[in-house]
Formats: sequence, structure tokens, C-alpha cells
Amino acid sequence: MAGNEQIKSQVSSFMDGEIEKDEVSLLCKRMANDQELREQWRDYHLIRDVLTQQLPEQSNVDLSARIQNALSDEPAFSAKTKTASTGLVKRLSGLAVAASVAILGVVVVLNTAVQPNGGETTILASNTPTSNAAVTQVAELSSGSVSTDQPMDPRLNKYLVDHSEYAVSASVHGILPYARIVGHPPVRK
Amino acid sequence: MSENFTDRELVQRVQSGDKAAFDLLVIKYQHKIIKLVSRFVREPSDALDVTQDAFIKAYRALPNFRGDSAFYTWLYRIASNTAKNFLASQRRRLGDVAIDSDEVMSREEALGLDDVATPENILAKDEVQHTVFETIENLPDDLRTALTLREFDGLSYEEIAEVMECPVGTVRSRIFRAREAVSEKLRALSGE
Repeated sequence: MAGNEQIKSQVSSFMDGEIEKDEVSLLCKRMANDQELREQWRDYHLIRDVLTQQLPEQSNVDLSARIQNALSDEPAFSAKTKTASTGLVKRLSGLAVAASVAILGVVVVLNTAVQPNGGETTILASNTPTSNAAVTQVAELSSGSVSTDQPMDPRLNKYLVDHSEYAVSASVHGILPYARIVGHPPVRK
Repeated sequence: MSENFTDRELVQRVQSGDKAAFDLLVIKYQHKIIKLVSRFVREPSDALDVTQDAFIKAYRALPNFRGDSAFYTWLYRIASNTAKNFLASQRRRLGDVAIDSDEVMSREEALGLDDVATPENILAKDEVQHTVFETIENLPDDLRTALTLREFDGLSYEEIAEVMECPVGTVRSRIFRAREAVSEKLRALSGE
């Protein structure tokens, strides 16, 4: 097969996806600079469109020149554009995974720290007076109804104690068990 | 390997800065897209404009195409959305104009929903179809069989080689020669 015939045969194979990957680049460069090869590409696809009944009523139309003209002012993409965007996506995905793992870790630690009898939490509570104080303070500030200066209603206190014990025994997960640390601070007079 | 391989290669080339590769994608899919758009936009000149818009939109969006779906599926979505948007904007525009009772033109006609098939279009299409089918009919058996197994049945070269009990290289050559024969007749038809 003569050189030109061989290239034309490659065009035929390329439209069927039956060409070696390393031949594509050279063939595409040739097709970009060779009007005859592009016409061959067009005719072969016209044949396919007829055979697969994809030919529109305007069968004699070739929009490629119009579109090429309309895109003449558009910049060609660079490999960097794609790499930069995918790189950013990759970094953000990595960050999201790391954040998810961190949150999961916190939740797991909180869950394992709480035992059904609530004893562990009590220890935690007594070992972290600073954080308890801070949380209590937040509760006071946000509700505006709890004050250490006022005596706690014993019924309310009992309710909170019962509720927190039930919550733990019912294996309520997450950070909810900490609510009782906030809920019933000891009333000291 | 398949046609998807061809699209993937061409898309990657466009994404790497080869604008000429996009031209090959346009040539490959323009008829399918015109046919699709014509189902929404019946006025032929509008259909061509919408098709052009769809390809331009596709080009601009191509850096974000990751190949999760086939290129044609992605292009199909862009084209049908472009056509629907065109129709919506046309309806809005026509809705603003009060239709005089003397005007007999129906809204469908105003939207270009009348028959797209002009006698010239029908004739040109018929001639092309006739040339293709007649030429294939007159091809030698081995060329015709190879081409039809490829185009109608979508078999790979390897599968065709199995069916025809010949080497893959022979299949490649037969399909090429069959296409060249039809292509020659088409060029004669268009006077090239």
C-alpha cells in the first residue's frame, strides 16, 4: 500500500477505534493540515450517518467551517488548565477526606468514652473542670435562666438526672451524653 | 477498542490545546446533532444556528469534561438543553406580541413547527442515500460484508475477522476499500 493510501487507511481505522494509540497523534496532526484527509473523514461519517439513518434533512450542510470560524477567537486549552483544575479538586478532596476522618475520630472517642452505667462520663466530668465550667457558662449565657446564685428546683434536677441516665442506658450515641454535664450543675449554697 | 476510543483520543487532544481535533468531533457528530436539534427546532436555519451554539458551548465546557460518560451522551445533553432554551426564549418573545385575530398563522407555525422537509432538502437527502446504498449493493461480496458487519452490526475488526475467517489486516483493508468506493461516488455526486 502506498504511503498516502496507508494514511487514508488509518483514517478509516481511526473512525472505528481500531488504530494503535501511538499512531493517533501523528494522524491527527496530518488531518489538521491536510484538507483531503478531513474530507475523507467527513465522507466516511456521511456514509455511516446514511447507514445508521442519522442523516438530517439538511444532509448537504457542513457546519465545521462555521464552527471553526466562530471558535477562532477562543483560546486553545493548555494542558496546564486541566492539570490545575484537577489538582485543585484533588487537594480539596484530600482536605474533605481528612476532615471527615477527624470528625469520625472525635465521634468514636466520645462514644467509647461513655459506658452504659455513666460512670466514665462522671470521671470525665470531674477530670475536666475547666471545660465543664466553660460549658456551664455558655449554658447560662444562652438560656439566661440558670444561675448558680438561685436554688435549683429539686424536681427539675431529678428530671435532668433521670433523663441523662435513661439517655446513656438507651445507648444514645454522639455527644448527647455530655448534655447532663451541662444540665444539672450541683447547687451549692 | 471502540468508537469511544476515538472520541476519548480526540477529546484529550482538544483538552491539551489541539483545536483542530475539535473540528474532527464536529464533522463526526454534526449530522446527529442537527437531527436531534431539528426535533425541537423545526425551522432549518434556526436548527443550524442552535447546533452551532451547542458545539460552541461544548467546546467551552470541554476542559470540565472528565469522561465519566461517553462524549456523545454529554454532547447530546448540551445540544438538547440548548434547543430547549432556544424554544423557551422564542416562546417568551412571541408571547410578548399580541396576535391579531386576522392573522391566520398559528402559534406552531410562528414557532417554525411546520414541516422542515423542503423539496430541495428531500431531493438532496434522497440522492445521497441512494448513492450510498446503490454503491454498497454493487460492491464485491467481501467488501460489502466487511462494511455492513462494521456499520450495521457494530462488530470490531477482530470479530469481523472471525466471522469472515480472514486476518484482521484484511478486514481493515476491505472496510477501507469499501468506504473509498462509496466516497468516490459521493464526491462525483457533489461535483468535487
